Amino acid sequence: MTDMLETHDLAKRYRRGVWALAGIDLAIPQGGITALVGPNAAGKSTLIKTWVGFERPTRGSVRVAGIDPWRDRSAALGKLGYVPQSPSLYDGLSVEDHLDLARQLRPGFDREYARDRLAQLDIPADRGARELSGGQQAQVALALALGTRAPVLLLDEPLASLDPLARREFLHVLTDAVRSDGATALLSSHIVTDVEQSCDRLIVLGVGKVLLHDTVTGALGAHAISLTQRADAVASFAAPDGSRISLVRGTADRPATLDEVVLGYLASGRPSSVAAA
Amino acid sequence: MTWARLTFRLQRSSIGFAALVCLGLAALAAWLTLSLPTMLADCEGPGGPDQCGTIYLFGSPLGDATLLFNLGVGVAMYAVPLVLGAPVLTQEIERRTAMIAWPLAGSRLRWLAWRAGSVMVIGLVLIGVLAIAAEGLAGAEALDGDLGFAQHGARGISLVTRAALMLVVAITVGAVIGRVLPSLLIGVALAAGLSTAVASLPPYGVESTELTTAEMNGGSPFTTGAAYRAPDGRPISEDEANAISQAVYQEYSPELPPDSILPYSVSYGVAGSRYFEVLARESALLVGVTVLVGGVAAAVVQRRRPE
Amino acid sequence: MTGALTWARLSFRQQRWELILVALGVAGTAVAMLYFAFTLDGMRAASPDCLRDLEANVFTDSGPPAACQAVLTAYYDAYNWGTNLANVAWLAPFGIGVILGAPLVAREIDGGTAQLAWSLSPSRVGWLVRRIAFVSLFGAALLAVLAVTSALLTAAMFPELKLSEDFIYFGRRDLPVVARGAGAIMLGVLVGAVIGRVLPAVLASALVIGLAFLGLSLGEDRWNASEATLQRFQETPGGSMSFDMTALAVAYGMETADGEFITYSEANERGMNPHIADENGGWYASEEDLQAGRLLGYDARLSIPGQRYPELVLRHSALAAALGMLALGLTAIVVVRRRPV
Repeated sequence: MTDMLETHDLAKRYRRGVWALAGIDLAIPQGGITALVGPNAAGKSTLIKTWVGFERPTRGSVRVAGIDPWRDRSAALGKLGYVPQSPSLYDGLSVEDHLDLARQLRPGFDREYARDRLAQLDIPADRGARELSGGQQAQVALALALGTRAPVLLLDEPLASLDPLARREFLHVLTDAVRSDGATALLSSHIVTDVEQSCDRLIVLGVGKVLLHDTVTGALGAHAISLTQRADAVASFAAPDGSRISLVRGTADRPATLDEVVLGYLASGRPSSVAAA
Repeated sequence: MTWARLTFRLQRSSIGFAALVCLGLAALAAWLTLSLPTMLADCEGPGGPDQCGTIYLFGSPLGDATLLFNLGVGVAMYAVPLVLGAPVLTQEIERRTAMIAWPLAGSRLRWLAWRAGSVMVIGLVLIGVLAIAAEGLAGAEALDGDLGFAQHGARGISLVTRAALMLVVAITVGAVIGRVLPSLLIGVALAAGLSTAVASLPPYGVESTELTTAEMNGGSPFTTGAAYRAPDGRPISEDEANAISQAVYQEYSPELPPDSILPYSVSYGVAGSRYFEVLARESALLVGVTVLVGGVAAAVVQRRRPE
Repeated sequence: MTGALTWARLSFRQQRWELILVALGVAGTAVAMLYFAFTLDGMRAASPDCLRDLEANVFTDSGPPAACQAVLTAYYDAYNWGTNLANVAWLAPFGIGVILGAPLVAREIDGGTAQLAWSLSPSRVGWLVRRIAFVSLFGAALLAVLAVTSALLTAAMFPELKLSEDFIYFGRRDLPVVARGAGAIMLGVLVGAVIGRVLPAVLASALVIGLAFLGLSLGEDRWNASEATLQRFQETPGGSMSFDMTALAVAYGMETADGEFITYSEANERGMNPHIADENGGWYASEEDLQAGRLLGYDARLSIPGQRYPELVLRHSALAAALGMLALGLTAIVVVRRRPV
């Protein structure tokens, strides 16, 4: 199977010497939705932006459908649809105008497809961008990305500011589009329950490194929770009742939920854990 | 100094621009003030002031710099307040920080007093430096040391009151429009209007009198009009004066007639010695209008949506 | 064609405030120019005796007839308005460069929409060119209107001149108004792309555009000086003024005894101190030198004859346009390399 998104020893350092990414190797195969989960400042946005060509790697390389965006940005962008962290629509333009703008900018932009998606959500095409709710703005941004009919969709925390219903609708549209078009989507998010519902794969990113990269079912099958501290644990962390539990590979006291898998790996990625390791 | 630091951080580009313009012009004025006496003393020698005037126009660095300074002050006294005032509210509204700031402050008026007040203090300090420098230069340029109405509106208190009014107008326009660039553009039109209006207001009800020759020649009076006198001193109209002149010229042609049999004109206005009377009235009026416009800004801020 | 119209509509909507206000400003100025041009023409037609050969009237000892005073006052009022409006035509290209150019890319970066646009468009340079195209054409069209109305106004103010061979109001009429505007817009866009925030970009572009055109003007002065011819104020001692008033004055100064032209500043720097002029345009350092006949030189200037007006218009416009193209090239580099936030 072709890998649609790749990184090789990807590192990114910002001006003040902060390493946002520290040597990441990733290969995301074609099809399905991959969740990119990590705490704030884990490097999720930086990773996505290097694929879009917005951030130049300090070291290593990235590829979109086999194309290095820093060698052939035009070809790489032609394979991409991107939803930025905040929708950032044009204040002076209506929804319809945004679709026209996308058709002007992007050869092959499927205006009717995007329009239909928005119509299904009852988002008025003549409404100004400023007049839309946060959820509607996110849906417009998603429709613009979907309208590109690109084989790869990169979504940078589009759910962060949405209410549960808007999140559900957003994910439904995304899942439906990806399944029907056979696209590959990478969705960065904080919200693990959303990931579990809609994503096929999971990447946990912490302090600029990949802590876990697996299918959702694989990650769930490969991990369990131990109610006692274990030396071979991925990490220990506090349960909702305040007791300490450990995430372990293999079998233990009970199966792990996806939330616990993510929490365990995030805990393992904390600087103290890394230092201990 | 926390307020000054925060104000600067919130508007560093416009405050930086204002400081650059005001302090740059003030430095130029200071250099000219120090250099002019030497230059003028040189011109006291052979040739007299007329030749110096020619030198000023045609290539003297001092002449060019003085012209540049006067032009710069004319623009800066409206541009600096506009650039400082227009973004006060528009930035908060455009970037939606008003949604955080207004609930935090509890009272929008308190917020406005802090936000606009701090910009006004910084702006007026910068304009004040420029006004003092311009006053000094005008003093150095006045050969007889008596300024009177010379450079009125472009130096000292008259410059500060105009700038203060423009600053409050800019803040109000920003509050109404809510967007930076349109506010700046509308502000430019208002500045042109304000400049014209303020220039047409003097002498603020101060009685005009017939100016004596001494008052005309020294101390830069403010002239409000002219009238004609027959050779015997009798008041006559402009048409009568022209008719008498034509007749006298034709009678003597091709020789020139003596001045004593020609009509002459007299000027009416306010003598330079009464400058401070006019300045006080103007300042009171402009400060009053400034407070009034500030009230409009406060009312707009009280009522408008923060986005 | 439909695509171009759609793009024009979208571009207009993205900058509608600035575009509308600038269009209103230009329209108002153009209407005022036409009004005063017709007013001046109309006054001359209505009062030919008062307004014929004005210069001669002004300098006649007896002055104009009494009946002409009101006409002359009104005429000179209109004329002064014409002068002010011509100054607006000089300033407008730079103002339009700041207002339309600076926010173009800066607002996209400031508002975060560059992320959307740059991810949708396969080529950032392509996006930039299209983004600039509409605004530049809009600005150029407005300035073209101003350039034409300013030329009509100039013709009305100076009916005795053949404007195609006269440098009067050079840079305030015809092609230079448009070319300067195009150059200024590109410079504004460059500053906006570098800074990425609207207000700082507007302020900085005012300085950058001013400095860039000042540099261009100084460079052109040198070029012009290398081609200029020397003219004495009086060709023959005691003769009438020989300055060709249709010419472009490049520098004022004096012709020294050995035939060299130096500006007054250069004369002062050399310690020549021209203080006293005689009736023949001769300069002397002092009264004693005048009495002794120790001449420093004659009043003179360097100038380019009016016949070369079309050539210099094209040259100046080409230089302004080249400045703009340079700015456009630098903007393309900045846009390709910079982050969208």
